[in-house]
Parts: sequence; structure tokens; C-alpha cells
Amino acid sequence: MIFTLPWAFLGMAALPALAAIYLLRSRSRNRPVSSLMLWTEATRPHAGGRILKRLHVPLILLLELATLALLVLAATGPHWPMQGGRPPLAVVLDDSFSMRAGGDASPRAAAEDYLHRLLADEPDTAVRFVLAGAEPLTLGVRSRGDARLGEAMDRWTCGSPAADLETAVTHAMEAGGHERVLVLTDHAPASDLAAAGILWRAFGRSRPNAAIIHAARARGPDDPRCLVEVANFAADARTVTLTIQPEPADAAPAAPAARPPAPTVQRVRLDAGERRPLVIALPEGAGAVRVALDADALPLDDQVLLLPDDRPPVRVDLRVVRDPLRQALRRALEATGRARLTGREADLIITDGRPPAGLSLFHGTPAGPPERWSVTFVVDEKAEAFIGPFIIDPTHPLCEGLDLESVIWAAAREPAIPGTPVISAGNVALVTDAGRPGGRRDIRIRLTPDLSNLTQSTNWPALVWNLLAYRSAHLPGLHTPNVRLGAMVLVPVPAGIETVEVRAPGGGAESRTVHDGRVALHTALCGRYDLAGGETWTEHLAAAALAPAESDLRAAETGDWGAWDDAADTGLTDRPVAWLAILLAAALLVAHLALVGRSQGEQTL
Amino acid sequence: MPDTHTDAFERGRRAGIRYAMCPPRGAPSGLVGAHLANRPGSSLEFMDHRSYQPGDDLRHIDWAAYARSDRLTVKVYRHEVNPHVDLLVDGSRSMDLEGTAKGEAVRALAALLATAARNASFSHRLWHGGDTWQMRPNGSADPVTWGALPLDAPTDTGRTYLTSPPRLAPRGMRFLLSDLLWMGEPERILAHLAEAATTVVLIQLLAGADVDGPPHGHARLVDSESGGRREVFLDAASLRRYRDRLARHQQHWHRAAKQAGAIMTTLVAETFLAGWDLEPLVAAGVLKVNPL
Repeated sequence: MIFTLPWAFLGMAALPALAAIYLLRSRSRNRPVSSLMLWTEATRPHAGGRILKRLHVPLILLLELATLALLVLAATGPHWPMQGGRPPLAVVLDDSFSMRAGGDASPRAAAEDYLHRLLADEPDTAVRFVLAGAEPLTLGVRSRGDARLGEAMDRWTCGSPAADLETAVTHAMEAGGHERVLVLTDHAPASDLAAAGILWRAFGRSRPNAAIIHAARARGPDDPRCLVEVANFAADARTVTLTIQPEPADAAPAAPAARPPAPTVQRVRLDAGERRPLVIALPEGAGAVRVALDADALPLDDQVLLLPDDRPPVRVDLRVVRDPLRQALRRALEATGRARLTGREADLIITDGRPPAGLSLFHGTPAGPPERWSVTFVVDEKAEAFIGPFIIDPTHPLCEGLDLESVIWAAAREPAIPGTPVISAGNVALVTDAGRPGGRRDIRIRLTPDLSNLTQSTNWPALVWNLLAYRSAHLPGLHTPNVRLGAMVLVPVPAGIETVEVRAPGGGAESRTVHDGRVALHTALCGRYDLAGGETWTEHLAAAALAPAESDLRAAETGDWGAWDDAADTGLTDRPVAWLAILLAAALLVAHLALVGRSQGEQTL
Repeated sequence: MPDTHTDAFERGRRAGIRYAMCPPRGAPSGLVGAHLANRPGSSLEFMDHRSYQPGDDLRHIDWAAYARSDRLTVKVYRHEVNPHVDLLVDGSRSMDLEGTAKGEAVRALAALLATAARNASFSHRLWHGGDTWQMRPNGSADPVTWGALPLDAPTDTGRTYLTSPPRLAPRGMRFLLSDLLWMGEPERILAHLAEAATTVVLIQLLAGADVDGPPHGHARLVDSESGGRREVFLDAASLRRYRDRLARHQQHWHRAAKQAGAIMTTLVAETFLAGWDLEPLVAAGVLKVNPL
């Protein structure tokens, strides 16, 4: 028996105290009488008198002592081990792709086999499955008596680039009622298992593995290159063969089959544990490129599909007429490499408030269609120099990387510029952002360059970069077509498209609804994703298993760590029994009251 | 201790001054009496003549009348009596119950009755019941001269009375002072007391504790005579049953006393010492109150 509050046993001291009080109170005193002849009863009385009263009194005392003892016992919080069946089990499944190493002898296969055998012995145990990927996901509960593992095994694909086992274990334990947590993975726990009731079982095996751990494609059709970083996660040096297979630029599953270009093969000698970035030149007009290594223990990280990053730069119409400011903007825009200055169909109009001929202004802001964002520099003749402190909205995209310390920012206090303040000096808004119907945004920057050093500081190119990135993020199309496995990608969709057809690498297709001009896509599989919407809009992206920590199998091992509580393992659970003690005490009190009541009734006769 | 007894005797004697024994209604006879009986006797006071009947004392034939009338007549004289009182005091320990005024009361009562007897010119003797019933020395004298009257006999006085009864004076008044708390048949004792007695008076003297019983609670009852002990828990019910049994015991004695022609009354020691009230005996014609 376990007592959660053992100090409550101090209450047992009341028992001898009660007995002493009782004995002192009920102590017999000598009473001389003339004769005992009148105290001899031929028959025992129903109540009162000698014998029966001598029985009553100790019985009441015994009832009081027993009641007191039971109440003290209840106060200690007693728990009694009872056979109540095995407690519910929570199984945390490592969903990282390292679990797939070894093919049929993978840790996942061994773990699933173990799980089948374990649950076959416990058909009545309720099991909750928690998938430990980059973010934990609760799959569901196998109810008692259900011998099948359900869809949990089907969804345990081991395609995640990481496994947040710690958070998953926390989820499993917080699910409630799970006194046993089983972690199925391929490596040892990072630290000692502090929490009780966790059984950590690893089925991994240390294997040499060569992997592509980083891959990127140069942007634009003018730069046909790709960067691939390969690693040799092995104890010995080895030579790996890198096969670069370009695909036609317009290659798509639905497109007619075209003869693929001849692959390029590179042999790379890697030392033990070496990581080496490789810049691979691609042929002009190369479309998708598949880079592959020799097959080894973990095929998933041996190849990567790189789609061409043909996303056009942000078209900027620079209408600033004040020369110092115009020059500063031009230099910054050109330095980003993400802007193309143009005078027509610009995505972003930058002006200094002096409307050029042919451009109407709406409240001092260039008017135009929704895709035209505007940045208006408000230059005041009578400006005041602010040296800080500046109030920056750190959550706004324009403020990323800005540090305005030692910056002199000159601006007039009035009139106030409209929009939500993004950067302020006291109560003077220096940069504002205002949303317009249709998604257009008007950004105003109050700056007098002649009295400021902002354009000469490092904050200037950062601010211009943020302007372009802010605009670029809301342009249709992907930010980058090549993503990592398990990433959540928000694909901007042109206005007017409500649903998007998504074709996954496995061949499955599904329709996704557009929310707020975007489609969310989780890249659970490696390979190419094709999106199509409307009549002509298409988008493509590719996911690759680029996770060095998962590709490194040298730390994988087999073993058990931690243990379940003996009581939980044997099905014996400590159940609180304080209620039973209280119930018995209440029954004894009722009996006590009955005895006392009867005694009082007799005395009133 | 004797001083205490003497004090009780003195208090009883003073209280007894206002009482006097009434002559017995029966026919006690004595050679020399201070009271004229209601029946013919052998005293010198002539009362009447009547015809001779066989068995009459020839000395009382009035020869002169025979000479005149030739009929045998006898002189009838008023019987002259001088009553005697026997005071029998139960000397058992229960009569001096610890913590009560029972001992003082019985001594004072004996002295009172002796004084009342003396006030009526009755002779008296004091008997003490212990292992045997013995006449106390100086028991015929003034109570203040009685000395000690121990009440410490660890015996059943009723049984000793039957086994070794006192030799009581015939045609006397007999007073038994006791708590009567013993087992046995009261008829036998009363029959012996009433034999050749003109008046038998039973005075049951009880302590207040005898009447009411001990207080409530746990008690170890100790028999004052035998020393026997009994653990009891006393409550209203048990005390009620005790009082019922005491009442039945008294009724038993009353019934036996009535059958034997005895007078029985019960006195509570504490109440008696507080008021010296013997109204039951006055009402029964045993005592009379002397005019002041």
C-alpha cells in the first residue's frame, strides 16, 4: 500500500489520547453500599445495568477508535495495488526517414513487428499512436479488443526530415491516462529518461551512408547551375558516383514523352565523415535536373530533383525624381538582383510624391490595379532629424534585419502619413503600411535624405531588400520550387482560381481549396508536385530529403532504455482507497450514533 | 470513636425528651407495675366482683361475700403493669455505611427510644446484634452511659438472629432497629420477635444512598459487610430497577410485619437527624409527644 501523505499518520496520536480520555472518564469509582443483594439481577436486563453496559461502553470506544483510525487512514491518501488490467499505452512512432534505412530490415519494419507482438499479448489494451515527425501528430486510438493496428501503420510512412520525439512523448503523456509510453525509434535517447513509465526501444543499426544533404538551383535561366552538397557518413573514405540527369524544360507527367538528355556522371572521393559542396554546371535551357548517388542503405537521401527556378524578378517602376534619393534607390535595387527596373506593368512603383506626367494620384499615392504596390517617399522641406529611439514593428516584413541604432532619420512631424506605423520615432510615423482592396498595399516612407544618413547606412539595402521580398512574397508563383521534404509550402495562386489540382509524387491527385489566395501543400513525399488551376495556371515544386541528421546513420543503434512501472507492466495499478476508508468510517459513525441514541433514550425513561 | 457514639447518644437523648412510650395495648404482666392494665390482674386496686369459675385463684375468693350470700364470688383487681422495652440494634457494618449518617442515626434513634421509654417509666434493655445477639452492658441505664455501640459486625444479622436469638423479656415492647437489607424470610424473624411480645416495632433505618442509589456513571459497588465488589455502569435505567427492587423488598417486610402484628416504619438517616421526626410511630400509638 502506498500513502501519498504519510505525515497524516501523525493523526494516529489521537487514538491513545481518545482512549486515555475515555478511560479516565469511564474509570470506576468505589461506591460502598449497604448490601449487594439489590444489585444482583436474576435475569440480564435489556439495557442498562451491569453486563450490557459493560459491553456498550467498550463497543462505543472501539467504534470511535476505529472511526478515527479510518479517517486518519483516509487522510494519508492510501493507494492499494489492484488488478485492473494493463493501463492504456501510448506509442510514439519515429517518423523520420532514417527509420527506412536497410530496406526490409529497416528499423521501422523491426519496430512494427515488435509492436504487433506486443499488442497481440495485450488485445484489451487501448493504444494511442503519436507520430513523431517534425511536428508531432496524434493518429488515433486503438480501442480495447481491436486486434488490428488500424490506419496508424499506414500513416507511419517515415518520410519526415526530423523526428521531434521529445515533444511527441510530451504529447503522449499529456493525452491523459497513459501510464505507459512506448517510443519506437532507431537511436538512443538524447538524455536520461527522467520521466517514469517511458520505454524507449531503438531498432536501428549503425550503417555507412552517403547522402545528398543540400541541393539548390541557381535562379533564372541565365545561370544554369546547381549546388549539391554530398556527405559520406561512414567510418571509412569512399568514392561516390554522382549522376546528373537533366530533364526537358517543359517536362511534366502529362507531357508527351521526350528523349531525355544524356546523364553526366561525376566520381567524388570523400573522406570519412566529409561533406563536400559541388557546383554542377547545367546545359543551357536545362529543365528539371535529377541528381543521384549510388544506392546504399538509405535510398531516400541518394537523389534529389531540382526544378528550374524561373521565377521572374520583381518589376519595379522607379519614379523618384529627387536625385540623391533616386540614385540611392537604384543602387540598392540593382544590388539585390531581384528587381528589374521597368516602366510598364510594374509590380512595385516607387515614387517621391511628385506625380510624373500621365500618372494620377490618389491621396498622393499612385493609383493602379491590385498587383501594383506602391512605395511613396514623403520628402519634407522642413524636416527634423531623429536619432532615436525608433519604434520598430518586429513582425512586419519590412523590418527584418533592421537595426536603426546610430541612424539619423530626418522627417517632418506633420502632417501625419496614413497607414499602420511600421517604424516610428516617438509619435512620428516614419514608415507606414496600408492595405487596399484587392490586396494592394501602399507603403509610405517619410524621409528627407539630405538631413539623414539612412541611405548611407547598412539599413538601406536591407530595407530595399525587404521591400522587394515583401512584394515578391505576394506575387503569384512559388518563392522557390525546390523545397525540403516535410515542408509546408504556401503556393500563391492567381486571383480567380478557387481550387487547385495537386498531383503528388506517388501519382495520387487531389483537389485543394484556395484560401486567401494561397494553397497549402505539405510535402510528405520526395519528388515532384504538379499544381494546376484555372485554365492555364500551373506550378511545380520538388521535395527532397535533405536532412543531414537523418542521413547520418552512424549513431543508430538497437536497445532498450527506461522501463514501465512494475505495477503498470503487470497490470497492477495503485488505486486510491481513501473513499473506502471514509465509507467505513461513515458506517461506523452511523452505528455509533445508533448506540448513543439508544442509550440516551433509555436515560430518559 | 466512643466520643462520637456518646455524642450521638446525647443527641438522641435530647431529642427523646419530648417523647414517651405509650403503654402497650396488649396484656403485659408484671409483679409490680406503674400502669393499670385494661384487664383484671393481681394488683391491689379492686376493680369488681364476679362469680367464681374453676381455675380462679382461691386466694381471691371473697369469703365474706360467700358468708353473706352463700355464693362463691371472687374479687377482681385491675392488673397492674410495668412495661419493658427491648431495643435490638442491628450491629452489622451496613448500619454504619461509609459516607452516610446511618451510624449516627441508629445510635441516636436507640438513645431516643430509650429516653422515651424512661420518660414513660418503662424499663429497657439494649441488645446488639453481631455474631450473636448480646445485651449491652449499661443498656438499661441512661443512654449517655452506654459507651460504645460498635456497628462493625461483618455478618448477616438476620441469620444470627435465627441461630442465636436474644432472650427477650416476655410481654415487652420490642424495637428492632435495622436496615433490613439481608436475604432471608422475614416471617421467621418476626414470628420470633412477636412471640410473647406486646408490641413489635420494626424501624428500617436507611441512608439516603440506600434509597437513591449511587450517582450515575461507572461504579465499583463494595458490599460494606462482605466486602464483595461489583462493576456496574449506573444510569437512570439501572437505578430505577434498583429502587424497584428495594421497594419490593420493603413490601415483603411490610407484609410479613402485618401478618405478625408488628408495626414497621422506614426512616432515612439524614432526614431523621435533621428533624427527629417520628410521626409514624406517634401515629401508630407507640410513642406520644410529651406536652411542653
